[in-house]
Amino acid sequence: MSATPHDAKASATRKAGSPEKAPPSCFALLGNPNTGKTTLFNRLCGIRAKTANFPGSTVEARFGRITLDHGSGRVVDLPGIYALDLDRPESRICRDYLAGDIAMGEPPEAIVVVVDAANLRRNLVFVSQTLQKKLPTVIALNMIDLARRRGARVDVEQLSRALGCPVVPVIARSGAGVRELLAAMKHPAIADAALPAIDADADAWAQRVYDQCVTDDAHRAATGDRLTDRLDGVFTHPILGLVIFAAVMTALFYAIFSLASVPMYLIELLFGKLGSLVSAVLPEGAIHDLIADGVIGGIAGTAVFLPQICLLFFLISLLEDTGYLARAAFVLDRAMRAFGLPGQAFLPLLSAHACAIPAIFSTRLIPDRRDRVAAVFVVPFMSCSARLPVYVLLVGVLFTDPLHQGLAFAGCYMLGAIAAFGTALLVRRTLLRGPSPPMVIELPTYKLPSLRTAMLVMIERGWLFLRKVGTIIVGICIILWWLSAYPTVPEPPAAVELRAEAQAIVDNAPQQAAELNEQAGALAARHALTHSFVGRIGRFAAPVFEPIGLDWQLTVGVLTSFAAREVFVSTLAVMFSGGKDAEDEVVLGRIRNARRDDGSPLLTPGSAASLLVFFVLAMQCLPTLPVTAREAGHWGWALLQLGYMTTVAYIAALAVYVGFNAAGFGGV
Amino acid sequence: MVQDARTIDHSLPADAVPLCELRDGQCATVRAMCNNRECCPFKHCRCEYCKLLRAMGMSERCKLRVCRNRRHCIVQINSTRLGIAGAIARNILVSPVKDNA
Repeated sequence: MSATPHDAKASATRKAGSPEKAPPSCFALLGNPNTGKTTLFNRLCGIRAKTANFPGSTVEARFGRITLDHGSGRVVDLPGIYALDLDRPESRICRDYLAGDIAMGEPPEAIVVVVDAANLRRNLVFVSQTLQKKLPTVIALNMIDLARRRGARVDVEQLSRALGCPVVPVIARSGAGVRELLAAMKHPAIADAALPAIDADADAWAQRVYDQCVTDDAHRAATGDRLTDRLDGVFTHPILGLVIFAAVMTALFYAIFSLASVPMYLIELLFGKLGSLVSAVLPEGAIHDLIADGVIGGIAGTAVFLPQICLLFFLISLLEDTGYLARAAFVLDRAMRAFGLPGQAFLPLLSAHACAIPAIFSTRLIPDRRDRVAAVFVVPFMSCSARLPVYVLLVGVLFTDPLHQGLAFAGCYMLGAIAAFGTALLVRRTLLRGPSPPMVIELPTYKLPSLRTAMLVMIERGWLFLRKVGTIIVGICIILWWLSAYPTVPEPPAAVELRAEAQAIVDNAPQQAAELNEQAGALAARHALTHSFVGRIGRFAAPVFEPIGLDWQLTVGVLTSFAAREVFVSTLAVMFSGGKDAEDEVVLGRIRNARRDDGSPLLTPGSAASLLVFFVLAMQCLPTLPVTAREAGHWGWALLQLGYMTTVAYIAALAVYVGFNAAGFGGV
Repeated sequence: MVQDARTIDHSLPADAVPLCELRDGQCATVRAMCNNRECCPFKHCRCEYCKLLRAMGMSERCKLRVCRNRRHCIVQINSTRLGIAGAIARNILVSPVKDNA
């Protein structure tokens, strides 16, 4: 590994200004996508980094601290861009940041341009644009090992002279050359090379510099190309490519569900123990309930998704690093375009089957803003895992044989997907009208993924989820808990009688006494929920849901499920079974056989079908809303999503209920 | 309907054909990158697509190799491999290189 050329360094020092001038400490990291910029940033900063959006935009950058020879420094990892002059948010942000027009901490004193040594000719065009900014610059010539394997020998000293600034060969993946880069960052230089006067000359200039500094071995390059051709022939094949894509995605989600189940269980266990500890320490009362049920319950409900989110981003990072993800987007683009979505939208839509929240985060893979907002808007239509308990309950009311139950399940997933694609088409033709940019995508070189980068991405995304969203989600959970727990009411006389009866026989028949106490608890829980604010709101809102076949009890279930969809089943379990395990078959049976106030069945085929459709289509997951607002860039999108999905769900449920009744299937 | 670039600009070489008409493995020289009248071998088009393609490594007079041509194209320009939608490939005019045809 050769270091920065001494002569270039010396000349750089001269050009950077007087020797007394302090070396720069704030650097902007710039580069084309797929140049290993993020890997280099992670090498420089490790986990000492945080992610933040630029003011007034959804474009994000990462900020990290580094230890330089001359003290501590700051690095801003700007988004990967192909050119500074493109009319794209990322390019605009980079331009404005370099010009000091955006207040985002201290302005950059110097630039580190990361270039792909294996793709130097094209990267030089970008370098010419950055050098024209007349900021002190260091070039990090990354993936120099890959370039050598492809038969390209770069004369680093010659390149440094041609560009007029230090050039340091690095291998960000292994860390080779990073120390030399840190040393060179003490002496960045304002390029004095003859740069192209206009963009039109940039290609010719890049070609000239390339010819001066690089010796190519055409045979080795051709061998590499043939291998890539063969792999592309398989991965981008119209049929085989789709089969491989389906297999990769199945493996991805299987890994997410199976590997996440253990940490999810441990998180639930941890918070369960924490709740018990709080219950043991704090006396009964409002503070106890707030901390044990509101705060700990709310955090537990949020944190339980963390393993899925971390795994999703870890695996996405690995896939992206191999170069496969770009090929998958390319294969799916044509099919997705028919609905106004780009090929890159496949991953958010698929991962939404686990949970909409990480799925919305992953829409960042979509380059065009309109496409990205459309994907964010429709992602919650896909059936997430939280809907499953509701599907189990309601499909069980509608069908008894496994074949029909299976078909009904598949129908629910299909209905969600149809609604998602239909809505995507609608919003792209109305609110997000505008040409959908046809796909032009760089298919990066196939390479082994970096575990270190994937781990850092996972940690960063997991932390971001907990920090930025967790607070809002917990707040919402606390409010919903408070509404369903207050005002407190005394236990009903029937429960008091049962407890007295249990007390009388506890010495002679302890098991029977425990059963009586359990019954008393069930009655008390139902009574408390009925008289809570949510119960009152349920009764007040019941007329709204009556046309789709719901009574006040089901309305309460629907309202509490806005915290999270699966809460619907646990709410009904509280009302009809005293809060026992909501997934217990006995409890599900009790809910299915429950009665309304007038003695009629709670769930008829008509009401079950309409409720099922409502749950497939409704936006009953308030924690998703702040994520939508953050990723779409405006709270208006989140509120529109809530209103639109609820309206669509209501109309569809009404149509189903009316249809069932008209066909004579509405009753028992 | 997307216009074929050949119908727009008559100053292009006679052998110029849309990129989407090339076979797998065929090499060609780029003549024009969009159906904008301003875009021809002698003028430097500043439309957003041309700017993007240029930033991604494609430029007028550059040589490319078609790795795969189905509804979308995969082309290689030097060390850069680009996946290009059919709608764009229709508007990129190229002159096939004879000895590789």
